[in-house]
Amino acid sequence: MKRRAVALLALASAAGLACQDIISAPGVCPELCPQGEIRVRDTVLTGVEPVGSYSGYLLPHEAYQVQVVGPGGPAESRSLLVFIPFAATYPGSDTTVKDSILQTDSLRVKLNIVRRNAGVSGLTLALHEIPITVDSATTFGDMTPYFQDSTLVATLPVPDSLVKDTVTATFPAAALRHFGPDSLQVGIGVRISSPDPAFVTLASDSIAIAARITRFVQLDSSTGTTRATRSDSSGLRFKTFVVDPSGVPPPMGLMVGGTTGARSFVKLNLPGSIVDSTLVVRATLLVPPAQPIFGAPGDTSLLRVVALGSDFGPKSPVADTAYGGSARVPVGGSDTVAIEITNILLLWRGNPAVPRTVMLQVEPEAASINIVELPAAGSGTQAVVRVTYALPFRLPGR
Amino acid sequence: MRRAAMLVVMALVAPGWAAAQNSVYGLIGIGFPGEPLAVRARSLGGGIGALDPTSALNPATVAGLGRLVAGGAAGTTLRRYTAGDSTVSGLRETRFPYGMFGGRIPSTPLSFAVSFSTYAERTYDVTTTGTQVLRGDTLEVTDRVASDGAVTDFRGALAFRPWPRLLVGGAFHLLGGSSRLTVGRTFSSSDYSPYVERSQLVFSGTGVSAGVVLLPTGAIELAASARVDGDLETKSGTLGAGSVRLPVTLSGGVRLTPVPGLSLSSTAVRRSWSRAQPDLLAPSRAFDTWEIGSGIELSRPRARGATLPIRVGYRYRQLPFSNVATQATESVFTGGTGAVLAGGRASLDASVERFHRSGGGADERGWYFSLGVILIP
Repeated sequence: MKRRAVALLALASAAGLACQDIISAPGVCPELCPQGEIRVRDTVLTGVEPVGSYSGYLLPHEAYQVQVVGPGGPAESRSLLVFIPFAATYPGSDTTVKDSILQTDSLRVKLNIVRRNAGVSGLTLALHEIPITVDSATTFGDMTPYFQDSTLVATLPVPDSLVKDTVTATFPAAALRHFGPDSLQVGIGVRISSPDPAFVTLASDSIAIAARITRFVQLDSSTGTTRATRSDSSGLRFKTFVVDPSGVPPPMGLMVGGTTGARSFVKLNLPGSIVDSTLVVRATLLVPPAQPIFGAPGDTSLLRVVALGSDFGPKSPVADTAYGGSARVPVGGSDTVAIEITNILLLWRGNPAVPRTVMLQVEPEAASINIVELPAAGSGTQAVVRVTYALPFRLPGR
Repeated sequence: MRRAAMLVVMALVAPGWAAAQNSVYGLIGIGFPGEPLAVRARSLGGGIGALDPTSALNPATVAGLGRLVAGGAAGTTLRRYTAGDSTVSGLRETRFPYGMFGGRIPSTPLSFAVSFSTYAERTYDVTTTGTQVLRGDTLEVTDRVASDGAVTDFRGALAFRPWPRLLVGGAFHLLGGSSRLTVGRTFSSSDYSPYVERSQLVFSGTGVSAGVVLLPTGAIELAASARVDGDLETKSGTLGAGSVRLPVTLSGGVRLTPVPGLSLSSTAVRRSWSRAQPDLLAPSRAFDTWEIGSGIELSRPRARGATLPIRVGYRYRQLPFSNVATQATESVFTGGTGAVLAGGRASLDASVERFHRSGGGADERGWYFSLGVILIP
């Protein structure tokens, strides 16, 4: 009897342990579809309320890119580069030469181009000597006298095949009128000379810094019997770019981007019945530009939408930037810009503490002349949000 | 021995209880309908269902409980099905579909029983593919709908014997249970985020039943019962998610004992499931159903000194829900045996069923093994 009881116990336990179900199976519709209905809907929501446009978060001299735009486009811009002063003596650790500089032979400027417009041939950069006193308040008009033939230091052809690379120009030290014992600092202005509208963007990247200058000097050897040639280089102390304001159209809406790094705030008054009570699978902010996107010919801009973490007006902090979307928009385009903001709505779902306001910015900020304008409040055409959402699974029953 | 019997019960109940055998047809309607049958009744094709005091079909049978009785059952389904071009095999589920406790109420002529059984099994995990047009683009979508749970029928029954040859009883049914529902969709375009919706569905409903058992002679037993259920309400969280009308159930049964040790039983059940039709989503359809089961029990065979009854049966039933115009049916051949343990204080019943369900766009075959224990404390 005891043995039988143990066998029964083992049998019952085995039945209990067999609870690992295998039930996953493909369905066959319509014969054997699960009862219920997955409902995914798509709708366009108005309620996009322009709040305002604010500038000055970042200025061109703080941006990590500078844009040079040639003539023939809507507005010309020029880059202003001031290098770190050279030392009065040769700073190298080479003990075979004396450190007293006998003569500066030449200088070489290296520019790191990270972006340019394709399809433009014959692009030339003209390097002019500019005052080393330029600062963030310097304007395009201030610098106009310094971009004359008399200040031209060198011209630098940009190969048509160049997309992203460094270019160098070497010129005699005598080409710089203000470079000498009293001032061993160099200021270079860069403008574009091109038969067609063109632009280049200079910036530091993982390979090179935006601009660098190298000085080639003559020194005495340590024995004093021969002359030796050595070089040293320095980087940028200040960089910025100035734009011709006469080419910038007057604003018609909320400005985003430009040299002032404008940001626009937009409130999305979306119904809670969709944002909070459904599962949003795709949300797209559709922005009709108030006027064709302004900027460097052939350039594009990255228009980014970021959710605000709190709404304090212009100084509102953004939420995690992962909650945002972006779209690349072409200069000159007037088509509606579509920016995916799905993860912003997912952030907002069931989270009333987060303000339902987004910020639009052009990235990188203050690094180009490109401006996107949103429709202002009260204008006929407004931005909308197209939302694709899933309603709760519909179960059978009335 | 008593300890062993208790251990058997614990082993059966420990993983928790859930629903009855599963089916591909459980995707449709409110789920795959369960049967309020103990293991012995199952092994007889359900033929004894209307007369079995340990089953929960006819409340009048509760009056036949002479002593306190507790019982439960576990079952494992192994199945495969073909639907369209798809053949799916290797599906397996283990459930605890039935439990009861009852007996005489001291100092009264009444007997009572409380039980739970599966009303509808709702466990499945199905992936389907299709297309959806969104924003002018036709996207391929892959949907997953998974449900884990069941609608459970909790019954409280009272019965008595007004005369020695008549048993009368009534019961109140509380429908409950829940299922974890997981619904998700992925899109062929990465512009659309895949989503998963998880919800806990809670079921509720009520019903009443009443029945009689007539014993005209010692060799003939007759039974009849009726059950009326209200609506099955479904809630997702605090929100109502719909209600479905439930059927009226009429059942009748007979058992003949021509000679001691041999009994033949048969039970027929009619359910008006078509009442649910207005509440279903297209293309689902609800049909009234017939269920007829018969069995033969030889209760005298002995092996190694112990009685080992032999039970065989056959059950035919129509299934209530289909997504096409044709109604699915189920044919089941059953068999089983049992053993009395602990000097008559416990019994163990085993049943094996070979089922074949067809129609409604599918063909499903499989085995269902169940093991039940009855304790008489």
